[in-house]
Amino acid sequence: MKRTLSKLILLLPFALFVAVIVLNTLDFGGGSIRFIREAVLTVAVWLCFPIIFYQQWRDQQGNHNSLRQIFFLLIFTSLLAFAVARIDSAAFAGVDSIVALFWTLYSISVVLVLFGAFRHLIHIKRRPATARNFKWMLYLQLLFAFLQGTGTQYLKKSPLSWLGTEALLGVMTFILVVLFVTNSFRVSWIHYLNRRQKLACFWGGLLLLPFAWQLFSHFSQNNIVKTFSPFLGVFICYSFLFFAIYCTLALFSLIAHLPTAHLFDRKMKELESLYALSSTLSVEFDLNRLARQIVKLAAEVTESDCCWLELIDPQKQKLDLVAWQNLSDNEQAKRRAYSTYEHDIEELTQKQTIVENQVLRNKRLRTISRWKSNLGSVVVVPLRSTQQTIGYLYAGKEATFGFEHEDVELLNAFAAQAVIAVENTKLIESSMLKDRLEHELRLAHDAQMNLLPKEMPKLPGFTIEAVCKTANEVGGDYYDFIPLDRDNRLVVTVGDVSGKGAEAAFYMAEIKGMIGALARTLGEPAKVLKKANRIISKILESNHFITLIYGMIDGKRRCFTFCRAGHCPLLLAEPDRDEIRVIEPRGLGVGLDDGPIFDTKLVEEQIDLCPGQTLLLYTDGATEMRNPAGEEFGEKRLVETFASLKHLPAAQIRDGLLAAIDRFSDKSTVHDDLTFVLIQVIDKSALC
Amino acid sequence: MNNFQVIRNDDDKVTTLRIAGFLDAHTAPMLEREIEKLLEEGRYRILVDFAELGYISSAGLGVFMGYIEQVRENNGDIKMCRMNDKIYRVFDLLGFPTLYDIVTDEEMARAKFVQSSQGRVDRQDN
Repeated sequence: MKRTLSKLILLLPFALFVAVIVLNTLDFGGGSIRFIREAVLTVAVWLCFPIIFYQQWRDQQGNHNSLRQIFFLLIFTSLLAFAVARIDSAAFAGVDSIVALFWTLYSISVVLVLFGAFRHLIHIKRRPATARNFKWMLYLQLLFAFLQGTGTQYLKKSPLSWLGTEALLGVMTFILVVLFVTNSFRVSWIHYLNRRQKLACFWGGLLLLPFAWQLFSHFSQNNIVKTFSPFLGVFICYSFLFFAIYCTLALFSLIAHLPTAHLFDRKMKELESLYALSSTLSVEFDLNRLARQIVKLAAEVTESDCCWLELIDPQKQKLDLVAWQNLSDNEQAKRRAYSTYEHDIEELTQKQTIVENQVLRNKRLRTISRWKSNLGSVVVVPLRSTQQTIGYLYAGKEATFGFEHEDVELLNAFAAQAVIAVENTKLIESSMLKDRLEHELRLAHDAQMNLLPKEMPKLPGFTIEAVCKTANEVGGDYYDFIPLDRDNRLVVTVGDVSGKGAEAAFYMAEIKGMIGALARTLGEPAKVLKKANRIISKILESNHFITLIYGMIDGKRRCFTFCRAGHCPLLLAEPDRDEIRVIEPRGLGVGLDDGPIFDTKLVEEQIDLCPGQTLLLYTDGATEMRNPAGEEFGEKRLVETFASLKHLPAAQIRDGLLAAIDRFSDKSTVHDDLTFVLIQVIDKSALC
Repeated sequence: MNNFQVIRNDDDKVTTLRIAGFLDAHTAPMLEREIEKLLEEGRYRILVDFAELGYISSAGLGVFMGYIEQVRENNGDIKMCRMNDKIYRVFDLLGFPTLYDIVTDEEMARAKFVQSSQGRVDRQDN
């Protein structure tokens, strides 16, 4: 609604012009009617100002459009004015002349449109004063034109008459010219032109200038517009004066900008290309694509005929061509046949940028000229990472002395970016590898956890609890329960493979399988361990060993027979004794000796079981747990803790032991795997 | 933290390795390198002084197991001395004392080297 209204307001001035034509036909011949006519026309022009201020389409189309419009409108109008001046005769002059009316209408329309165009240029990079200055200029121009147009006879009667008409006119013109010049200094649009556009504008401006001033001179003389309406005549005259002044100053400004246009252009291009490159860097992690982008931009910005990137292959100690711009297939093939790294090694190991302005004349970098014949000048920039040189960026031109200082600087900047790209890609690759390894270790951890019994065995008269905490993703601790089919017997094993990590985990899996198989066939602890030792010491690396406790609960005879192969002792809590019994029969670790000594040293121990007794089997992870002060938890603390918990059910003893160790270690890093197995005798009816 | 150190001390026949600090999976390779160097030089009589050692893990124990065979094949031995109680406990649990000479002081260890070489000479004579 508001929009349509504003469009209607634009129609108003035309209505006023129509009113003026009507006023023209009512010729009273008096002076007052002329005054009213001029006043109506002034109001009409004032009402037309929105045409200047609301040419919003200019913002979308950019300043080139405004410049083009100014150029063509001024020249066309100037030619037209020239033609009008030729046929200017008494016949067309006068207030009621149709020709005068149309020429005036045309002129004022052109002035309004051009003011819009100039306003657009002036308002580029606007400051707070920009719009104010421009408006002041327009309104004062309107006022002064009205005052001058309605005739100096009124001035003579005014209180200002003592100043004299000429002086007043002079003051008004001076004020206006000052405002014109002020506004004409607003030529920031020149900064945004590139060199070619600046040149075009310069020649265009040079051509335009005579036309602009011709227009001013046309309208400053007596012409049919003035005869139609003195106010409009003066207004249009001032307008063209402003246009001419603006064009002149803009042209001077352009001339000042021309010598640096090339440099300015370059800097813009450099900035743009570096920006483009760094924004590519942040999204692109494929080294080859990145290298292509770097080479392409480097060639464009330095205006090189060809450009290529070579990276050092650390394994083969040679340079690989990874990306290129404007190298023919033939040249690429030839390049690959040569190993630049070997030939130019002395030159290239200098680690500084090499600028060779006459490739053919000088002997430096002659390897390049062997496979690329038409090179005049070449720049080689080493890609320097923090530690070493990782490759080279080359730019070549057919002309000799083709590279300026700025080109070399720019290539250095590109090389720096290329280094970041290469390093980034490497980092990402290694972090991806790390992720994969972590994933695999997690899988290994899950697999190892699956090797441990998923639930506690049910043996009448006994409660059995166990826990195993690994320090790394995979560890060397294990425990197992193997029910034997007769006499209510259950084999319990706790083991610890020396070392840590994946290696220990593999041995652990192996020993678990073997013990499981041997237990079912041999059953008795000493027999099983002797056999297992003979087999395993052949498989184990010489610097690895396994400690084990292998015990067998005989539910029927109510006894526990076990062997200790180098493992931590067995702890036995009894209801009627305060002390914990530490039972440590002799026995070597599995893998320490391949048979004879192991066999002779291994001792089988038997414990008779009665209700209330609790057996604790553990690994050295429990006793070797350290607190932040570096102190070990130790066997003594373990025994004391066990003693304080012995009256509790097995599960609570287990939790109590873990809690005590947690408290002691104070969440410092876990050094080793930690395993507890608890066997509690609960059948109260059984006799001891 | 918990640095591990090996100080080597050669005399005519016996090389003494004084080890100090923490001997675990991370530091074991240092000791391995040192022993390998001795084997390359043909020094097979190795005396390890444990006086300054604070901790030994299973990986640390493995170092001695890894070379004992080669050393003994060359008429040498790895003997250990001056272990504190805690360290000795670790060796003892595993049954090392039945396989290795572990003695309280250095002189006794040297004497044992002399004995064993004489014994071997005697046997060869017979």
